[in-house]
Amino acid sequence: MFNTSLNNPSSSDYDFDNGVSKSVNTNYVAEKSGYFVVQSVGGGGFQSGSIIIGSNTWGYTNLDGTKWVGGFPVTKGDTYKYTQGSAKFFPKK
Amino acid sequence: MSDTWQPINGGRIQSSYKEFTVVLPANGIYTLNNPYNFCRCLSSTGRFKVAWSSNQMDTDFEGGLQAKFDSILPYVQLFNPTETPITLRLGLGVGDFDDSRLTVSGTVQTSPAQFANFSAETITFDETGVIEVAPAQKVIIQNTGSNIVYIGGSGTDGLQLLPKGTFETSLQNILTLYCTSGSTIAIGSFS
Repeated sequence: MFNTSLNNPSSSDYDFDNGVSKSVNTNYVAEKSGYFVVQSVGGGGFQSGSIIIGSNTWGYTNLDGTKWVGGFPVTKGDTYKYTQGSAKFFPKK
Repeated sequence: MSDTWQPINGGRIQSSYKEFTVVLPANGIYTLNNPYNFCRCLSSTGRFKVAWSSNQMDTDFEGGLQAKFDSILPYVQLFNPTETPITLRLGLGVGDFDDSRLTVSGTVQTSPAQFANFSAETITFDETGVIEVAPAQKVIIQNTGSNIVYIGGSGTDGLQLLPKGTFETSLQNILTLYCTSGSTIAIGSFS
C-alpha cells in the first residue's frame, strides 16, 4: 500500500484509488496533473535517492534505517522521475 | 627396529613435541621414527591411513584428528591408499600438549542477531516497470499475481518468480524487480 499522507495531499484533490506505478530511473512526462509519491519498499529504507520534478530535485537521505516516503504535486507537462524505491502517480481529480 | 614401549611417567623421556611434513606418494608408505604418546594431524591434502608402531590395525586419519595413548610408541607408519600424492603435517609428542594456535584472519561470517521487526507491504503494477527493493536482514518477495516477476534485472533477464512463488534473500544491496502491467507482489522485511 502506498502511503499518501505525506505533505497532506487532499483526497478531494487527487484520486488515490487509481495510482499508476512508475519505474525507477525513468523520465516521465505528466499527461495530466497529479501527485507523485515515492517510497522505499522492503528493508529498512534506502541510504539516499531523489525525486526530480521539472527543474526541482528533492533528495532523500535515510541514515537511521527507517522507511522513507515522499510526495509532491506534478503539473501537466512536467517531467518527473525518481532514483530509488518504488513510486506511483495519482491523477488529479 | 625395536618396538619398546616406555611408561610416560617413568622419567626416561620428558615432554617433547615435534612437527613433521611428509609427502606420501600414491600408494606409498612411510615410517616416521619419533617417540610419541599423542599424534596430531595438523593438516593433510587427503585422507590416509596410520598404523601405530607395530600395531597391525590401520586407522583412517586426516587433518584435525588426534590420537593419544597411555604409553609411548616409537614410530608411526603412514600409508597413502589413493592414487594421488598426499602432503600431511604431523605433530608427534610426549606428554599433554594443548594446541591453541588457531587464528582467524579476514572476514568472519557470524550469525545475525534475532530479528526485531517485521513489516509487509503489497504493490500493484499498473504499468510495466522496474522498482528497487531496499536491503534488510531478510527480505521475502511473494508473487501474489498471475504474471511472472523477474528478479535482479531490468527486464525479463532476471530470475523468474512464478505466480504464488516466493523468493527470500539476505542480500545487503538493492534488488531490482521487473514486473509487467497487472503484476502484484508482497514484500516482507525482517530487521
